[in-house]
Amino acid sequence: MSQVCDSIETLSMSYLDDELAPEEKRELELHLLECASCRAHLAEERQEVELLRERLATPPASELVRARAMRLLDREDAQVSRALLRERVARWALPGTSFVAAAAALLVFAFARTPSAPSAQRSFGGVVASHPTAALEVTGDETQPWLQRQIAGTVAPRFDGIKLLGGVPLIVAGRRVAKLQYEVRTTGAQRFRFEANLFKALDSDQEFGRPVQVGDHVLYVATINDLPTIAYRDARGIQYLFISRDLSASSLLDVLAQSNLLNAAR
Amino acid sequence: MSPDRSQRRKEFEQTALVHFDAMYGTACRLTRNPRDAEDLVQEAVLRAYRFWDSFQRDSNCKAWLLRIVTNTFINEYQRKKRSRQILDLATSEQAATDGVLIHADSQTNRGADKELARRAISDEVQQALDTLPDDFRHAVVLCDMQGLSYKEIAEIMECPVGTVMSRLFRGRKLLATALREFAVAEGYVREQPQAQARTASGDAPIDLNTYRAAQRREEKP
Repeated sequence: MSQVCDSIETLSMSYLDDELAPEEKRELELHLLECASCRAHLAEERQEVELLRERLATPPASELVRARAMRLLDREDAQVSRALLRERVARWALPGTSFVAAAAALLVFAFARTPSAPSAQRSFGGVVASHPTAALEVTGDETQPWLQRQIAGTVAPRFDGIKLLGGVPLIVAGRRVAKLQYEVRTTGAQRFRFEANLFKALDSDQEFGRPVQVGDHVLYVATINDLPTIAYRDARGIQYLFISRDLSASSLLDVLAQSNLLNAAR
Repeated sequence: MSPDRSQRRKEFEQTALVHFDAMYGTACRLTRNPRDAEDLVQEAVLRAYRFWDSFQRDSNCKAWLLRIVTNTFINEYQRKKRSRQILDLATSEQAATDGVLIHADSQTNRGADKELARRAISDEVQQALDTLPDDFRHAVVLCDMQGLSYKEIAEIMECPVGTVMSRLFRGRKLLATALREFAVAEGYVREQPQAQARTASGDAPIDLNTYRAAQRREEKP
């Protein structure tokens, strides 16, 4: 009896599980050539393990099980995105800009515009100058029907976890503008606002600012009188101008990237 | 979704979710019915996704995932099972939201694979597996179903390789015996006493390291 014979249980198991080092494997194979008893043992073990492996196999997971797993991941992604957004909003937020100072700066800006500015820029400037607005004309659930009356066929953009407070109508450079106000609440119970101004774009309106690609869409980011503004025009020619006194351009962009406005088509 | 997030998701789907069947199969063998298997695999997938950043990119992803399945089973699933009654309430809500999915599912494969799964899991292999102590069952499932190495199984089970080998050895013998007993009971085969005799583990320890140590001793002058 060689030592291989003594350890044949261990060796045959390791051999069948492909756990032997090359030289151990060689040694065993050489031994098998001359030892009928070990050969028989290995053959028997092989048969048993192969049968077990065959019987243990399970069918693949059904499409339903997979679909549920994917839905779980979708939900997780949405939750994480919301939490990240809140965190970023809290990080980027300007420390308490005073309302009066902002309003004063806006007034200066509004009068400083040159009359030769392109019409969009003039309208945009006017919209920015109107920010922020104190009194909302409609609030909560009334906002959507109200918006329909202001600009037919438009839907208020929705943002995950962000509340639409309400709306107020404006006339800027002779155009009807619907101003929607949104509020972000952070986990630390801080509140930040931004607004969406909707109006029908004219063919003569030129986009201005830095173009930023978000998914399949191009947004234009500009800083107008220290306020981040982001412009977006949808396929039907509705112009959206997002402005915030609380948020930086990058966190405002983050917010927009989460909206149904940009994600509906995807 | 932010670009970082969708990149992460894409990577997870391409690297980890290709092992979904392996995770599900393992879950089927660890638990005892398709519903528990699904709960387990869903929870394990979610955990894997949450901890995806901690996965070492050059290591075996399948082993990493099966470790999560096994640990989830050991830690969470057992505890969860006790609160099953509470969860049952939530199932009706899930059933409602699944309506669309179930419809789509029946359109594509008419539930055939679900039926197959149910049959495979309730078969005598599962019954035989159920007779094994948990540690033995885990070792056999991870090795013979999923083809993990002893070292990978040792990491998952947090025990030495030698322990894996003896659990695997004894688990296989017990499983083979149980299957034979079922077959005998069902009248498929006649009893084979000589095969029965080998199921008792021999005197020699089942451990490659013991063998290797003995080899080294012999080589020394």
